[in-house]
Amino acid sequence: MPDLNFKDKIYKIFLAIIRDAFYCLFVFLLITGMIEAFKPGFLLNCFNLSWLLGLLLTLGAITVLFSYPEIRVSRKIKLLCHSAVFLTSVIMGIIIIYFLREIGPWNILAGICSVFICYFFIILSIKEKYD
Amino acid sequence: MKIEKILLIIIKIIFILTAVVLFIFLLSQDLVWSGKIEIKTDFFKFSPRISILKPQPRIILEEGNKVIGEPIWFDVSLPRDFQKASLEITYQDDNNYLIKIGPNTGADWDYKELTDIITDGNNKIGKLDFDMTGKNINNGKLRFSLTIPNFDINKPIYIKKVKMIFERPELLSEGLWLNLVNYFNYARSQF
Repeated sequence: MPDLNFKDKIYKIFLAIIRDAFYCLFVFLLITGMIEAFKPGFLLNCFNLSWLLGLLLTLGAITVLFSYPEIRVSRKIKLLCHSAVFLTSVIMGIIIIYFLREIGPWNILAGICSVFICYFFIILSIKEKYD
Repeated sequence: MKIEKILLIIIKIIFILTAVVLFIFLLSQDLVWSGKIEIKTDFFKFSPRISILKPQPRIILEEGNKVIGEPIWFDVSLPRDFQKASLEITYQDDNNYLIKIGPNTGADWDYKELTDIITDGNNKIGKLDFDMTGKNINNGKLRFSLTIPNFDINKPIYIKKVKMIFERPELLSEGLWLNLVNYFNYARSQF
């Protein structure tokens, strides 16, 4: 017989790792992003913004999809898709990342704000139904 | 305490330490504690520290950065103040042109001729050194121009690579306080 309790533990540890990675990256990007706004090149001369934001969004999406086990994943995806603000934020992020070659402080701030808004509405849309 | 909790705390500490190390790495890169930064490009791929060759109508990127007009230029993003710069350019030139390269000084350019040229197969490699005092750095960017006085549009050259090394005193030799003061003065004057 497989040990279901062990499976649950692994699942919880996996989720905690993803969540911690997400929060760490989020705080890191927030701090370095603010420095970038005042001192352009601080973060972006060393790291590719599209990779960092992509990683952040992926970790954020995994955290949301795997959290709240009471809600079905299909329902979560539906909620995410129904959130117009979420989509707008993603489109805004893509435009900033791929179409602006000369990235300046305002673009960085806009990028960070879009991630903020995006994550806020993901959480809100799921929490609302959950509560 | 359960083993899972200990494991989760260890993982959390690892993530926090990674973020702190990354932050210190960024700080050391931006403050150039080592006293030297190296910037390389082949002008094909986007590089955060160095722009593409401009103006674009004078360059055919698809044909290996074929230069069909002059002067051409590129911008270098400098994280802070520097004292010296050395430039190494690899290019293909079958016409033995006299090539001059120099950074912007405001109204003029500090042009220097490429003289000690090494031949490497089809390519030529030229090196130049520049003093960074009095250079016109705008928003942390310094423009370098390349000019060929007797350029013939039917005999183009190809720019293959540019490597630049910018130097300043190391953190230990300059002292932490002076290093930070110079850094903040530069940041305040540029951005």
